[in-house]
Amino acid sequence: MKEIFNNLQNREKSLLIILACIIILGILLSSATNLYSNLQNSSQRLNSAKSDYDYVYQQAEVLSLNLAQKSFLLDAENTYAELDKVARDFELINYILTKDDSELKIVYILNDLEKSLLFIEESVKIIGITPAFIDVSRLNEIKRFTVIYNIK
Amino acid sequence: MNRYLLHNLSNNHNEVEVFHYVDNIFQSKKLLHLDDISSHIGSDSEIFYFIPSSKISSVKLDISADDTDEAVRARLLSEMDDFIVSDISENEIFIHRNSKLNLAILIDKSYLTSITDKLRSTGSKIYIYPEHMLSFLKDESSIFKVSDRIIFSFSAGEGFSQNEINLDDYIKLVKKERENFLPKIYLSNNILAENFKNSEIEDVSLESLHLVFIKEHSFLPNLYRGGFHLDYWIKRYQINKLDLALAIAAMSLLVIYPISSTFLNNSYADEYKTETVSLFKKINPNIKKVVNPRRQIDEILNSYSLEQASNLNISGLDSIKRLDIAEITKLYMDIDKSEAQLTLSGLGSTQYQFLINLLPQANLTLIKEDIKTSEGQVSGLIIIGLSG
Repeated sequence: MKEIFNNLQNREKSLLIILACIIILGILLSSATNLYSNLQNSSQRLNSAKSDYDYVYQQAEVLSLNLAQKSFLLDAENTYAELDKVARDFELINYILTKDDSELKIVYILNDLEKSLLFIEESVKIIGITPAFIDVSRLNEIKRFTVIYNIK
Repeated sequence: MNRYLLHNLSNNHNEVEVFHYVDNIFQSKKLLHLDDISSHIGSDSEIFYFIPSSKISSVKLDISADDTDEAVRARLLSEMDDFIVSDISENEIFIHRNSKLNLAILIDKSYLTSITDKLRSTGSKIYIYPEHMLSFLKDESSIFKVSDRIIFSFSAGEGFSQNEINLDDYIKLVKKERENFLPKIYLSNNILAENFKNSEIEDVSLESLHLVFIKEHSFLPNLYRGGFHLDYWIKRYQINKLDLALAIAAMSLLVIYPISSTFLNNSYADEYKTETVSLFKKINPNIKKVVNPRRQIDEILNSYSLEQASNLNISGLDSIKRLDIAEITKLYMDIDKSEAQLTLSGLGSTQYQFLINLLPQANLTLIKEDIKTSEGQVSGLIIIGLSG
Protein backbone atom coordinates (compact mmCIF):
# COMPACT_ATOMS: atom_id res chain seq x y z
CA MET A 1 0.00 0.00 0.00
CA LYS A 2 2.80 2.35 1.03
CA GLU A 3 4.65 1.39 -2.16
CA ILE A 4 1.62 2.21 -4.31
CA PHE A 5 1.23 5.52 -2.54
CA ASN A 6 4.91 6.41 -2.91
CA ASN A 7 4.77 5.67 -6.61
CA LEU A 8 2.02 8.21 -7.16
CA GLN A 9 2.78 11.66 -8.44
CA ASN A 10 2.97 14.53 -5.96
CA ARG A 11 -0.27 16.00 -7.28
CA GLU A 12 -2.04 12.64 -6.84
CA LYS A 13 -0.52 12.19 -3.40
CA SER A 14 -1.71 15.67 -2.35
CA LEU A 15 -5.20 14.96 -3.70
CA LEU A 16 -5.37 11.66 -1.84
CA ILE A 17 -4.11 13.23 1.40
CA ILE A 18 -6.64 16.08 1.12
CA LEU A 19 -9.40 13.56 0.40
CA ALA A 20 -8.38 11.40 3.34
CA CYS A 21 -8.25 14.45 5.61
CA ILE A 22 -11.73 15.55 4.47
CA ILE A 23 -13.13 12.05 5.05
CA ILE A 24 -11.50 11.74 8.49
CA LEU A 25 -12.62 15.25 9.46
CA GLY A 26 -16.13 14.49 8.21
CA ILE A 27 -16.29 11.28 10.21
CA LEU A 28 -14.93 13.01 13.31
CA LEU A 29 -17.33 15.95 12.96
CA SER A 30 -20.29 13.70 12.30
CA SER A 31 -19.42 11.47 15.27
CA ALA A 32 -18.89 14.45 17.55
CA THR A 33 -22.16 16.06 16.43
CA ASN A 34 -23.97 12.79 16.94
CA LEU A 35 -22.44 12.27 20.40
CA TYR A 36 -23.28 15.77 21.63
CA SER A 37 -26.72 15.68 20.04
CA ASN A 38 -27.43 12.42 21.89
CA LEU A 39 -26.20 14.05 25.08
CA GLN A 40 -28.51 17.01 24.58
CA ASN A 41 -31.48 14.73 23.86
CA SER A 42 -30.77 12.57 26.90
CA SER A 43 -30.45 15.68 29.04
CA GLN A 44 -33.86 16.92 27.82
CA ARG A 45 -35.33 13.47 28.39
CA LEU A 46 -33.98 13.43 31.96
CA ASN A 47 -35.32 16.93 32.71
CA SER A 48 -38.72 16.00 31.34
CA ALA A 49 -38.83 12.70 33.31
CA LYS A 50 -37.70 14.44 36.52
CA SER A 51 -40.17 17.26 36.08
CA ASP A 52 -43.02 14.75 35.46
CA TYR A 53 -41.98 12.73 38.51
CA ASP A 54 -41.83 15.82 40.74
CA TYR A 55 -45.25 16.95 39.55
CA VAL A 56 -46.82 13.52 40.06
CA TYR A 57 -45.15 13.19 43.48
CA GLN A 58 -46.43 16.62 44.55
CA GLN A 59 -49.93 15.88 43.33
CA ALA A 60 -49.84 12.44 44.97
CA GLU A 61 -48.90 14.13 48.25
CA VAL A 62 -51.84 16.50 47.85
CA LEU A 63 -54.09 13.54 47.20
CA SER A 64 -52.65 11.61 50.13
CA LEU A 65 -53.13 14.61 52.43
CA ASN A 66 -56.71 15.08 51.33
CA LEU A 67 -57.49 11.43 51.74
CA ALA A 68 -55.85 11.46 55.19
CA GLN A 69 -57.92 14.51 56.12
CA LYS A 70 -61.15 12.85 54.92
CA SER A 71 -60.21 9.72 56.80
CA PHE A 72 -59.52 11.76 59.98
CA LEU A 73 -62.82 13.57 59.76
CA LEU A 74 -64.66 10.29 59.26
CA ASP A 75 -62.85 8.24 61.87
CA ALA A 76 -60.82 10.43 64.26
CA GLU A 77 -60.22 7.66 66.81
CA ASN A 78 -58.35 5.58 64.30
CA THR A 79 -56.16 8.61 63.47
CA TYR A 80 -55.42 9.23 67.16
CA ALA A 81 -54.38 5.61 67.58
CA GLU A 82 -52.07 5.95 64.63
CA LEU A 83 -50.63 9.16 66.09
CA ASP A 84 -50.06 7.38 69.42
CA LYS A 85 -48.16 4.67 67.62
CA VAL A 86 -45.97 7.16 65.77
CA ALA A 87 -45.38 9.08 69.01
CA ARG A 88 -44.11 5.86 70.58
CA ASP A 89 -41.88 5.23 67.57
CA PHE A 90 -40.41 8.72 67.94
CA GLU A 91 -39.97 8.12 71.71
CA LEU A 92 -41.80 11.32 72.63
CA ILE A 93 -41.82 12.05 76.37
CA ASN A 94 -45.04 13.01 78.16
CA TYR A 95 -46.99 12.80 74.91
CA ILE A 96 -50.47 14.19 75.44
CA LEU A 97 -53.16 14.55 72.80
CA THR A 98 -56.20 16.66 73.60
CA LYS A 99 -59.03 17.62 71.34
CA ASP A 100 -62.17 19.66 71.30
CA ASP A 101 -64.55 20.66 68.55
CA SER A 102 -62.25 23.21 66.96
CA GLU A 103 -58.74 22.07 67.59
CA LEU A 104 -56.43 19.20 68.20
CA LYS A 105 -53.49 19.79 70.52
CA ILE A 106 -50.42 17.62 70.87
CA VAL A 107 -47.92 18.28 73.65
CA TYR A 108 -44.68 16.40 74.17
CA ILE A 109 -41.10 16.76 75.32
CA LEU A 110 -38.20 15.93 73.08
CA ASN A 111 -34.67 17.31 73.21
CA ASP A 112 -33.87 16.45 69.61
CA LEU A 113 -35.28 19.34 67.53
CA GLU A 114 -34.72 17.65 64.19
CA LYS A 115 -36.51 14.50 65.30
CA SER A 116 -39.36 16.56 66.67
CA LEU A 117 -39.83 18.33 63.34
CA LEU A 118 -39.91 14.95 61.60
CA PHE A 119 -42.68 13.90 63.95
CA ILE A 120 -44.64 17.04 63.09
CA GLU A 121 -44.29 16.27 59.38
CA GLU A 122 -45.36 12.67 59.99
CA SER A 123 -48.39 13.83 61.99
CA VAL A 124 -49.41 16.11 59.09
CA LYS A 125 -49.38 13.10 56.78
CA ILE A 126 -51.61 11.16 59.18
CA ILE A 127 -54.10 13.92 59.98
CA GLY A 128 -53.98 15.59 56.58
CA ILE A 129 -54.03 19.02 58.19
CA THR A 130 -51.11 21.37 58.65
CA PRO A 131 -50.63 22.75 62.19
CA ALA A 132 -51.84 26.26 62.87
CA PHE A 133 -49.37 26.94 65.69
CA ILE A 134 -46.18 25.39 66.93
CA ASP A 135 -44.82 26.40 70.29
CA VAL A 136 -41.35 25.41 71.48
CA SER A 137 -40.49 26.24 75.09
CA ARG A 138 -36.99 25.58 76.25
CA LEU A 139 -35.69 25.07 79.73
CA ASN A 140 -31.99 24.35 79.56
CA GLU A 141 -31.74 21.42 77.15
CA ILE A 142 -35.33 20.29 77.59
CA LYS A 143 -37.70 21.30 74.81
CA ARG A 144 -41.45 21.19 75.23
CA PHE A 145 -43.44 21.19 72.02
CA THR A 146 -47.07 22.21 71.65
CA VAL A 147 -48.57 21.62 68.23
CA ILE A 148 -52.09 22.88 67.55
CA TYR A 149 -54.18 21.82 64.53
CA ASN A 150 -57.39 23.63 63.61
CA ILE A 151 -59.90 20.97 62.67
CA LYS A 152 -62.88 23.14 61.77
CA MET B 1 19.36 29.86 16.90
CA ASN B 2 21.50 26.78 16.44
CA ARG B 3 22.33 26.06 12.84
CA TYR B 4 24.13 22.99 11.64
CA LEU B 5 25.54 22.82 8.11
CA LEU B 6 26.35 19.33 6.97
CA HIS B 7 28.67 18.19 4.20
CA ASN B 8 29.48 14.69 3.07
CA LEU B 9 33.01 13.74 3.83
CA SER B 10 33.31 11.37 0.93
CA ASN B 11 30.91 9.69 -1.41
CA ASN B 12 29.70 7.65 1.53
CA HIS B 13 26.78 9.83 2.56
CA ASN B 14 26.70 8.46 6.10
CA GLU B 15 29.87 10.31 7.15
CA VAL B 16 29.25 14.01 7.55
CA GLU B 17 31.23 17.03 8.61
CA VAL B 18 29.07 19.22 10.81
CA PHE B 19 29.63 22.97 11.11
CA HIS B 20 27.85 24.45 14.09
CA TYR B 21 26.78 28.10 14.16
CA VAL B 22 24.93 30.00 16.85
CA ASP B 23 23.39 33.28 15.70
CA ASN B 24 25.67 33.26 12.67
CA ILE B 25 28.82 32.83 14.75
CA PHE B 26 30.91 29.77 14.03
CA GLN B 27 31.13 27.49 17.06
CA SER B 28 32.63 24.16 16.12
CA LYS B 29 33.26 21.56 13.45
CA LYS B 30 33.06 17.84 14.01
CA LEU B 31 32.69 14.56 12.18
CA LEU B 32 29.57 12.54 12.73
CA HIS B 33 27.91 9.44 11.46
CA LEU B 34 24.52 10.39 10.02
CA ASP B 35 22.84 7.63 12.07
CA ASP B 36 23.98 9.31 15.31
CA ILE B 37 22.93 12.78 14.32
CA SER B 38 19.81 12.88 16.52
CA SER B 39 21.94 12.57 19.64
CA HIS B 40 23.97 15.66 18.67
CA ILE B 41 21.41 18.00 17.17
CA GLY B 42 18.33 19.17 19.06
CA SER B 43 14.88 19.95 17.72
CA ASP B 44 15.30 23.71 18.28
CA SER B 45 17.85 23.87 15.46
CA GLU B 46 18.03 24.32 11.73
CA ILE B 47 19.87 21.79 9.59
CA PHE B 48 21.29 22.60 6.18
CA TYR B 49 22.32 19.44 4.43
CA PHE B 50 24.40 19.84 1.29
CA ILE B 51 24.01 17.04 -1.19
CA PRO B 52 27.15 16.52 -3.28
CA SER B 53 26.34 18.00 -6.66
CA SER B 54 27.57 14.82 -8.32
CA LYS B 55 24.52 13.09 -6.83
CA ILE B 56 22.09 15.29 -8.69
CA SER B 57 21.40 16.34 -12.25
CA SER B 58 20.51 19.97 -12.63
CA VAL B 59 19.02 21.40 -15.80
CA LYS B 60 18.27 24.99 -16.72
CA LEU B 61 14.63 25.40 -17.72
CA ASP B 62 13.66 27.34 -20.82
CA ILE B 63 9.97 27.60 -20.20
CA SER B 64 7.18 30.08 -20.41
CA ALA B 65 5.13 31.09 -17.42
CA ASP B 66 2.11 29.24 -18.86
CA ASP B 67 3.77 25.83 -18.68
CA THR B 68 2.59 23.85 -15.69
CA ASP B 69 5.02 21.97 -13.49
CA GLU B 70 3.49 18.72 -14.73
CA ALA B 71 4.08 19.66 -18.36
CA VAL B 72 7.64 20.71 -17.63
CA ARG B 73 8.24 17.48 -15.71
CA ALA B 74 6.86 15.36 -18.58
CA ARG B 75 8.98 17.14 -21.14
CA LEU B 76 12.04 16.82 -18.98
CA LEU B 77 11.47 13.12 -18.47
CA SER B 78 11.26 12.48 -22.17
CA GLU B 79 14.39 14.55 -22.81
CA MET B 80 16.43 12.96 -20.04
CA ASP B 81 15.25 9.39 -20.44
CA ASP B 82 18.11 8.56 -22.79
CA PHE B 83 21.00 9.62 -20.64
CA ILE B 84 19.73 8.75 -17.13
CA VAL B 85 21.38 5.46 -16.25
CA SER B 86 18.89 4.36 -13.61
CA ASP B 87 15.17 3.82 -14.07
CA ILE B 88 13.72 7.30 -14.54
CA SER B 89 10.86 6.52 -12.16
CA GLU B 90 13.36 6.02 -9.35
CA ASN B 91 14.22 9.70 -9.53
CA GLU B 92 12.56 12.67 -7.99
CA ILE B 93 12.28 15.81 -10.10
CA PHE B 94 12.16 19.20 -8.44
CA ILE B 95 10.96 22.04 -10.63
CA HIS B 96 12.07 25.31 -9.16
CA ARG B 97 10.78 28.50 -10.72
CA ASN B 98 11.12 32.01 -9.40
CA SER B 99 12.37 35.35 -10.63
CA LYS B 100 16.00 34.40 -10.00
CA LEU B 101 16.10 30.72 -10.85
CA ASN B 102 14.46 28.41 -13.37
CA LEU B 103 15.88 25.07 -12.62
CA ALA B 104 15.02 21.39 -12.61
CA ILE B 105 16.85 19.09 -10.27
CA LEU B 106 16.78 15.35 -10.62
CA ILE B 107 17.83 13.14 -7.73
CA ASP B 108 17.61 9.48 -6.83
CA LYS B 109 14.52 9.04 -4.65
CA SER B 110 15.92 6.36 -2.35
CA TYR B 111 19.12 8.34 -1.78
CA LEU B 112 17.16 11.47 -0.86
CA THR B 113 14.76 9.46 1.33
CA SER B 114 17.59 7.80 3.23
CA ILE B 115 19.02 11.23 4.06
CA THR B 116 15.73 12.90 4.97
CA ASP B 117 14.71 9.99 7.21
CA LYS B 118 17.89 10.38 9.21
CA LEU B 119 17.62 14.16 9.35
CA ARG B 120 14.01 13.92 10.53
CA SER B 121 15.16 11.95 13.57
CA THR B 122 16.57 15.22 14.95
CA GLY B 123 13.23 17.02 14.85
CA SER B 124 15.03 20.11 13.52
CA LYS B 125 13.91 22.36 10.71
CA ILE B 126 15.42 20.80 7.62
CA TYR B 127 16.85 22.29 4.45
CA ILE B 128 18.51 20.21 1.76
CA TYR B 129 20.37 21.94 -1.03
CA PRO B 130 22.73 20.92 -3.81
CA GLU B 131 26.23 21.69 -2.63
CA HIS B 132 27.13 23.97 -5.54
CA MET B 133 24.48 26.44 -4.35
CA LEU B 134 26.94 27.46 -1.62
CA SER B 135 29.24 29.25 -4.05
CA PHE B 136 26.41 30.09 -6.45
CA LEU B 137 25.17 32.64 -3.93
CA LYS B 138 28.58 34.33 -3.82
CA ASP B 139 29.15 34.19 -7.54
CA GLU B 140 26.96 32.32 -9.99
CA SER B 141 29.90 30.95 -11.98
CA SER B 142 32.35 29.70 -9.45
CA ILE B 143 34.45 26.79 -8.32
CA PHE B 144 35.26 25.78 -4.76
CA LYS B 145 36.20 22.72 -2.81
CA VAL B 146 34.67 20.68 0.00
CA SER B 147 36.44 17.58 1.26
CA ASP B 148 37.92 15.89 -1.84
CA ARG B 149 35.30 17.34 -4.20
CA ILE B 150 35.86 20.23 -6.58
CA ILE B 151 32.47 21.85 -7.00
CA PHE B 152 31.40 23.75 -10.10
CA SER B 153 28.57 26.23 -10.10
CA PHE B 154 27.21 27.51 -13.41
CA SER B 155 25.36 30.70 -14.19
CA ALA B 156 21.81 29.31 -14.32
CA GLY B 157 22.08 27.44 -11.02
CA GLU B 158 23.28 24.17 -12.47
CA GLY B 159 26.25 22.53 -10.92
CA PHE B 160 28.37 19.48 -10.53
CA SER B 161 31.11 18.15 -8.34
CA GLN B 162 34.05 16.04 -9.35
CA ASN B 163 36.76 14.23 -7.52
CA GLU B 164 40.19 15.85 -7.78
CA ILE B 165 41.57 12.81 -9.59
CA ASN B 166 39.16 13.20 -12.47
CA LEU B 167 39.33 16.98 -12.55
CA ASP B 168 41.28 17.20 -15.81
CA ASP B 169 38.75 15.20 -17.77
CA TYR B 170 35.84 17.10 -16.34
CA ILE B 171 37.38 20.48 -17.10
CA LYS B 172 37.82 19.41 -20.75
CA LEU B 173 34.17 18.51 -20.87
CA VAL B 174 33.10 21.78 -19.28
CA LYS B 175 35.22 23.86 -21.61
CA LYS B 176 33.81 22.01 -24.58
CA GLU B 177 30.20 22.48 -23.54
CA ARG B 178 30.46 25.90 -21.92
CA GLU B 179 32.88 27.95 -23.95
CA ASN B 180 32.10 31.18 -22.09
CA PHE B 181 32.47 29.71 -18.63
CA LEU B 182 34.58 32.15 -16.67
CA PRO B 183 34.34 31.12 -13.05
CA LYS B 184 35.63 32.71 -9.91
CA ILE B 185 37.89 30.22 -8.23
CA TYR B 186 37.68 29.99 -4.45
CA LEU B 187 40.58 27.65 -3.91
CA SER B 188 44.18 27.38 -4.97
CA ASN B 189 44.55 24.60 -7.48
CA ASN B 190 47.15 24.48 -10.26
CA ILE B 191 44.97 22.61 -12.74
CA LEU B 192 42.15 25.12 -12.35
CA ALA B 193 44.53 28.08 -12.51
CA GLU B 194 46.03 26.73 -15.74
CA ASN B 195 42.69 26.02 -17.37
CA PHE B 196 40.93 29.22 -16.33
CA LYS B 197 43.71 31.75 -16.75
CA ASN B 198 41.33 34.69 -16.97
CA SER B 199 39.51 33.79 -13.80
CA GLU B 200 39.86 35.58 -10.51
CA ILE B 201 41.27 33.43 -7.78
CA GLU B 202 40.18 34.24 -4.29
CA ASP B 203 40.82 32.43 -1.07
CA VAL B 204 37.40 32.04 0.49
CA SER B 205 36.77 29.89 3.55
CA LEU B 206 33.90 27.46 3.69
CA GLU B 207 32.66 29.20 6.86
CA SER B 208 32.27 32.52 5.02
CA LEU B 209 30.31 30.76 2.25
CA HIS B 210 28.13 29.24 4.98
CA LEU B 211 27.35 32.64 6.46
CA VAL B 212 26.38 34.09 3.08
CA PHE B 213 24.25 31.02 2.46
CA ILE B 214 22.44 31.22 5.81
CA LYS B 215 21.41 34.79 5.01
CA GLU B 216 20.36 34.32 1.40
CA HIS B 217 19.24 30.73 0.87
CA SER B 218 15.50 31.42 0.83
CA PHE B 219 15.08 31.59 -2.97
CA LEU B 220 17.03 28.41 -3.62
CA PRO B 221 15.40 25.02 -4.22
CA ASN B 222 15.00 23.19 -0.93
CA LEU B 223 15.00 19.47 -1.74
CA TYR B 224 13.42 18.59 1.60
CA ARG B 225 9.83 17.46 1.18
CA GLY B 226 7.77 17.90 4.30
CA GLY B 227 4.64 15.93 4.98
CA PHE B 228 3.01 14.17 7.86
CA HIS B 229 5.62 12.22 9.77
CA LEU B 230 4.31 11.71 13.31
CA ASP B 231 7.68 10.89 14.86
CA TYR B 232 9.22 13.99 13.29
CA TRP B 233 6.48 16.34 14.47
CA ILE B 234 6.50 14.86 17.95
CA LYS B 235 10.22 15.53 18.14
CA ARG B 236 9.98 18.88 16.32
CA TYR B 237 7.52 20.28 18.86
CA GLN B 238 9.24 18.51 21.77
CA ILE B 239 6.13 16.59 22.68
CA ASN B 240 7.07 14.29 25.55
CA LYS B 241 5.24 11.30 26.95
CA LEU B 242 3.42 13.43 29.51
CA ASP B 243 2.14 15.80 26.79
CA LEU B 244 1.03 12.81 24.72
CA ALA B 245 -0.65 11.23 27.73
CA LEU B 246 -2.42 14.52 28.52
CA ALA B 247 -3.52 14.94 24.91
CA ILE B 248 -4.81 11.37 24.77
CA ALA B 249 -6.55 11.85 28.14
CA ALA B 250 -8.16 15.09 26.92
CA MET B 251 -9.27 13.47 23.67
CA SER B 252 -10.59 10.46 25.58
CA LEU B 253 -12.47 12.78 27.93
CA LEU B 254 -14.04 14.55 24.97
CA VAL B 255 -15.31 11.19 23.74
CA ILE B 256 -16.03 9.54 27.10
CA TYR B 257 -17.81 12.54 28.63
CA PRO B 258 -20.78 12.69 26.19
CA ILE B 259 -21.07 8.88 26.07
CA SER B 260 -21.05 8.43 29.85
CA SER B 261 -23.24 11.48 30.46
CA THR B 262 -25.75 10.26 27.87
CA PHE B 263 -25.76 6.84 29.49
CA LEU B 264 -26.24 8.31 32.98
CA ASN B 265 -28.96 10.73 31.81
CA ASN B 266 -30.86 7.91 30.10
CA SER B 267 -30.41 5.69 33.14
CA TYR B 268 -31.71 8.40 35.54
CA ALA B 269 -34.56 9.25 33.16
CA ASP B 270 -35.59 5.56 33.09
CA GLU B 271 -35.40 5.48 36.88
CA TYR B 272 -37.63 8.56 37.18
CA LYS B 273 -40.11 7.01 34.73
CA THR B 274 -40.15 3.74 36.70
CA GLU B 275 -40.69 5.65 39.94
CA THR B 276 -43.46 7.71 38.34
CA VAL B 277 -45.23 4.52 37.24
CA SER B 278 -44.65 3.13 40.73
CA LEU B 279 -46.37 6.22 42.21
CA PHE B 280 -49.35 5.63 39.95
CA LYS B 281 -49.44 1.96 40.96
CA LYS B 282 -49.53 2.99 44.63
CA ILE B 283 -52.46 5.30 43.93
CA ASN B 284 -54.25 2.79 41.75
CA PRO B 285 -52.76 -0.70 41.22
CA ASN B 286 -54.97 -1.16 38.15
CA ILE B 287 -53.12 1.49 36.16
CA LYS B 288 -51.37 -0.38 33.36
CA LYS B 289 -49.77 2.34 31.34
CA VAL B 290 -48.52 5.84 32.02
CA VAL B 291 -48.33 7.88 28.82
CA ASN B 292 -48.84 11.45 29.97
CA PRO B 293 -48.18 11.48 33.72
CA ARG B 294 -49.20 15.10 34.32
CA ARG B 295 -52.56 14.71 32.61
CA GLN B 296 -53.19 11.34 34.23
CA ILE B 297 -52.47 12.53 37.80
CA ASP B 298 -54.65 15.62 37.23
CA GLU B 299 -57.45 13.34 36.05
CA ILE B 300 -57.08 11.22 39.20
CA LEU B 301 -57.15 14.28 41.44
CA ASN B 302 -60.23 15.59 39.60
CA SER B 303 -61.96 12.24 40.06
CA TYR B 304 -61.60 12.64 43.86
CA SER B 305 -63.25 16.10 43.67
CA LEU B 306 -60.81 17.66 46.13
CA GLU B 307 -62.12 20.94 47.51
CA GLN B 308 -58.77 22.56 48.13
CA ALA B 309 -55.26 21.30 47.69
CA SER B 310 -53.47 20.98 51.01
CA ASN B 311 -49.84 21.71 51.36
CA LEU B 312 -47.50 19.45 53.21
CA ASN B 313 -44.67 21.96 53.25
CA ILE B 314 -45.07 23.89 56.47
CA SER B 315 -43.74 27.35 55.92
CA GLY B 316 -40.67 28.03 58.03
CA LEU B 317 -40.40 24.59 59.61
CA ASP B 318 -36.87 24.24 58.31
CA SER B 319 -36.02 27.68 59.66
CA ILE B 320 -36.71 26.51 63.21
CA LYS B 321 -33.63 24.30 62.97
CA ARG B 322 -31.50 27.40 62.60
CA LEU B 323 -33.00 28.91 65.77
CA ASP B 324 -31.95 26.06 68.06
CA ILE B 325 -30.10 28.37 70.46
CA ALA B 326 -30.21 27.89 74.25
CA GLU B 327 -30.90 31.60 74.89
CA ILE B 328 -34.05 31.49 72.75
CA THR B 329 -36.25 30.19 75.52
CA LYS B 330 -39.53 30.25 73.63
CA LEU B 331 -40.50 30.05 70.01
CA TYR B 332 -44.08 30.50 68.93
CA MET B 333 -44.88 29.89 65.26
CA ASP B 334 -48.08 31.08 63.66
CA ILE B 335 -48.11 28.98 60.50
CA ASP B 336 -51.03 30.77 58.88
CA LYS B 337 -49.42 34.18 59.35
CA SER B 338 -45.97 32.80 58.56
CA GLU B 339 -44.59 34.49 61.63
CA ALA B 340 -42.62 33.38 64.65
CA GLN B 341 -42.26 35.08 68.00
CA LEU B 342 -38.95 34.47 69.73
CA THR B 343 -38.35 35.07 73.44
CA LEU B 344 -34.74 35.86 74.17
CA SER B 345 -33.18 35.56 77.58
CA GLY B 346 -29.62 36.71 78.13
CA LEU B 347 -28.37 36.27 74.57
CA GLY B 348 -24.95 37.90 74.09
CA SER B 349 -25.28 41.13 72.12
CA THR B 350 -22.64 40.01 69.60
CA GLN B 351 -24.40 36.69 69.22
CA TYR B 352 -27.71 38.52 68.82
CA GLN B 353 -26.26 40.78 66.15
CA PHE B 354 -24.86 37.72 64.41
CA LEU B 355 -28.31 36.08 64.57
CA ILE B 356 -30.00 39.14 63.07
CA ASN B 357 -27.39 39.33 60.30
CA LEU B 358 -27.94 35.67 59.50
CA LEU B 359 -31.75 35.95 59.18
CA PRO B 360 -31.80 36.87 55.45
CA GLN B 361 -29.59 33.91 54.62
CA ALA B 362 -32.14 31.64 56.34
CA ASN B 363 -34.97 33.25 54.35
CA LEU B 364 -36.21 34.96 57.54
CA THR B 365 -37.07 38.63 58.00
CA LEU B 366 -37.09 40.71 61.13
CA ILE B 367 -40.59 42.17 61.62
CA LYS B 368 -40.57 43.54 65.14
CA GLU B 369 -37.94 43.96 67.82
CA ASP B 370 -38.76 44.54 71.51
CA ILE B 371 -35.53 43.92 73.37
CA LYS B 372 -33.47 45.30 76.23
CA THR B 373 -29.71 45.11 76.44
CA SER B 374 -28.17 44.90 79.84
CA GLU B 375 -24.51 44.20 80.56
CA GLY B 376 -23.97 42.99 77.03
CA GLN B 377 -26.88 40.60 77.13
CA VAL B 378 -30.04 40.89 75.10
CA SER B 379 -33.46 39.90 76.46
CA GLY B 380 -36.96 40.49 75.10
CA LEU B 381 -39.13 39.58 72.14
CA ILE B 382 -38.58 39.61 68.43
CA ILE B 383 -41.01 38.70 65.65
CA ILE B 384 -39.66 37.28 62.47
CA GLY B 385 -41.32 36.47 59.16
CA LEU B 386 -41.04 32.93 57.83
CA SER B 387 -40.88 33.13 54.10
CA GLY B 388 -40.42 29.43 53.65
